[in-house]
Amino acid sequence: MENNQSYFDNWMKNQRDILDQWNNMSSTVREQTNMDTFFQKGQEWMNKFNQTVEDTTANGRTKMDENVNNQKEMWTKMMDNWNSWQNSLNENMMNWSKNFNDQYVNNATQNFTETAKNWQNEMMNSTQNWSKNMTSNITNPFDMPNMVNSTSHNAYKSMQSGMEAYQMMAKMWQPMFEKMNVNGWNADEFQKMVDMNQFKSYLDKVFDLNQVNINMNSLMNNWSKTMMSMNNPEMMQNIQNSMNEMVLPQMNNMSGMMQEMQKNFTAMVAPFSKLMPDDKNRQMMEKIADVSKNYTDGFQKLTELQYHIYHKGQNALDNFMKVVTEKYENGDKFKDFNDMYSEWLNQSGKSFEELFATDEYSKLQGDLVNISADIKAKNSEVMEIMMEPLPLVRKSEADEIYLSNYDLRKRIHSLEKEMEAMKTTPNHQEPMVHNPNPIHHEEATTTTPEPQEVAIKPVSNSKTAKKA
Amino acid sequence: MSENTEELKNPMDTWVDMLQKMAKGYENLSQIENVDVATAQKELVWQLDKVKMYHYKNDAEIKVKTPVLISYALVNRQDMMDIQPDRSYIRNLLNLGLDIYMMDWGYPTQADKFLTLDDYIEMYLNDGVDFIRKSESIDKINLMGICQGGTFSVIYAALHPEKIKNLITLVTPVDFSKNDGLLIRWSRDMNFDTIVDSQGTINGDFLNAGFSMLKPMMQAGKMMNLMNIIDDKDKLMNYLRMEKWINDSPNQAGECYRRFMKELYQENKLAENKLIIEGKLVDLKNLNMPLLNIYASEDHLVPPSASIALNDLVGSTDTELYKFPGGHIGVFVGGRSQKELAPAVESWLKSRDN
Repeated sequence: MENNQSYFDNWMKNQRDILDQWNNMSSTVREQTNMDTFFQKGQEWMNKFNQTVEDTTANGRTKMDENVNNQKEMWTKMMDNWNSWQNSLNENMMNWSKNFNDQYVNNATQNFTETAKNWQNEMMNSTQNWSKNMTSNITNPFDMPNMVNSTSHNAYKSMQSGMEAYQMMAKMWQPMFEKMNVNGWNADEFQKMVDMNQFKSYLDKVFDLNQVNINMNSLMNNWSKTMMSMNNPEMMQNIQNSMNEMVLPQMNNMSGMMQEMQKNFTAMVAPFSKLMPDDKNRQMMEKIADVSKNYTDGFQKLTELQYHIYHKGQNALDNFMKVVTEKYENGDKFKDFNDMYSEWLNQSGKSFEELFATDEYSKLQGDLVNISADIKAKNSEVMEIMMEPLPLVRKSEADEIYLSNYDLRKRIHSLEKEMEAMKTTPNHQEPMVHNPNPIHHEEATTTTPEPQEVAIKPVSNSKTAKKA
Repeated sequence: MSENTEELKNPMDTWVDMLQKMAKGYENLSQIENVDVATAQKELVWQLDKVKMYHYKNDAEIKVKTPVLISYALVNRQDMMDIQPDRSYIRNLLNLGLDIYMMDWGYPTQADKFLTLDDYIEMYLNDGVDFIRKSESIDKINLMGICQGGTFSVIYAALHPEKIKNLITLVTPVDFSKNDGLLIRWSRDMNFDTIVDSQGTINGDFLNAGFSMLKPMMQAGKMMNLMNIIDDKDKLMNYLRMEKWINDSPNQAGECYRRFMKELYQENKLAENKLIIEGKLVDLKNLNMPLLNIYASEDHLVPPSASIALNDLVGSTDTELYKFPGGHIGVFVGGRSQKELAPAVESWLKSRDN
């Protein structure tokens, strides 16, 4: 009982923490809507950054020690500023989305007005999610002090995550089960009853798509409405046609929107960049602008990838309906929802594996991984510039040390091999120079089942080690 | 429409039942202090940098006198072969009288990012093999490679046939030309230069994320399985041991990963006899020792076609192909494996132990 109490207390606390985070993020997003404020904040930060650098370099190391607190503050500001850039990018994206939606609504039928509104809301949610992800400061919602080992902790987290997805499907199937109890299995009827919003949420959960969910929710809503309005024997073909008609043109528009957004962002950065002296700071800002290009490319690819996953999800659901229909026609039936859910996992798993085996999916996924790697590399370059004035070892400097260390290890190994070969050569003489304590070869002499606790003593050559 | 008049429980009620199980699961999981894997007794006998070699203690009568060195993959850890006492490929081999050494590639950090494929083959593996040869006063040892460790073993045996008496490969990819298997397919569209340049040492989580996408609904399925066994402590521990192994995913030295993915996965240089290691061509025709090639018929990580090809590529006249029903991991931890795999290996080795 105590454990259950602790579980629900934690659950409640986590819900509250998450809500607080969302509220904070909303405030941040709102604060960034004024571009003048944004520029002003950016310039203030840059001035302070420059001032701190000047102070520290002018007064030497002792001054640096005195400035520890200032540096911490500066670092925080730098990270705040970075987040501000990202939030502004989000804001810009939302504006473009709104413009696009306005245009779209004016030219489309009344049927799409609701879609546009939903899309706008979805855009807001997605950018907030993305910002939340970027800032990475969310309290761990699965903090469970009673878990004493990480394996149990991970297993519980996994179980909890799986339960969230399970709950979504249970909720979606609830009305169908009620019907089933009255009238039995009816695939056509159930197909129309599927809450596509709920289904999309499920797919988002399973594939972890929420963090960068751009606009597909509203498309799926519209799609599901169209589906529900259809009632003819060629339903499946109509679904396919409507999907192509609705989604593909919008995907092309999305591509144009993203490119426009990138142009706008570059234009936004340009005046800020011109305010700066032609030095590292400017380089840094240019690199940040460059990274933004990667982000827009990434969003575009991700939108396409999500489209494929949703589409395949729908196919999986259709196939599932057919399989279950056959099952019921053969006199078989589900014992309960768990039984059905297991069958769904089996069927949908096969469908998604089919998708993942396609060239199109592989290409998209490859592009996303490559873009992500490129962003990481460019961010590292930005950090290199940011950290240059600070008394910290930068990545490039660490790499130099690693490389030297690697070369030395190789050289020692090679020399030891040569010495050993000399020893086994007839008429060999002891070398003139001998290092009694090489740093990299060690021999174990103590038996223990725990590798980490094995006592190791240095030896001059690994091959001279003896079995205990 | 078909009729089904029996009352079905409301899905949300079933969900509530599951929630109660989850609360029980929380309680049970909270009481587990430690999850042990790889508990067979062994002794550290050799080490170079972070790479270690262990020698397993064996109280059974040694029936195959030539010692066996096992080379596991750099991905995940060799602990899977001794996941628990009653599901242990290692213990089964020991009980059948094999003398076993095990390479442990360790946990590379950013400081190890410059280690190359050449280093793993010609420095670590070669020194490990030489250590056994010298300490056992023998010219040749038996080499057993698992998955990527099997690929390493094939390369090594082709470069140093004079040091290897028998070669055993298990679920080992060699021919990457076929479009079977998602990992091979996906690798075609990845820029490994960009990936390595940005990460340095490749993060184990990055690799695990890719593996989990191969079976996207498996995670949800695992949750269902866990719910069903949450009250059975033995089964729960079995589950947790496997989870511990899956999550124990070492990083990979970037330069080694770069060459492995580019030259083997993308360019198929090993199967085409174009791979160069420390200036020497790896010619599979030089692989002239007896070969036992074991593959899993349902392997979703290393497709059978990538393994089977090896037997036709080597120069050896004594080759055997062993098809094991099951998946990549099931070969080692499955119930059937406990009865069949180790005896098959022991029998094959014993007949070639002169």
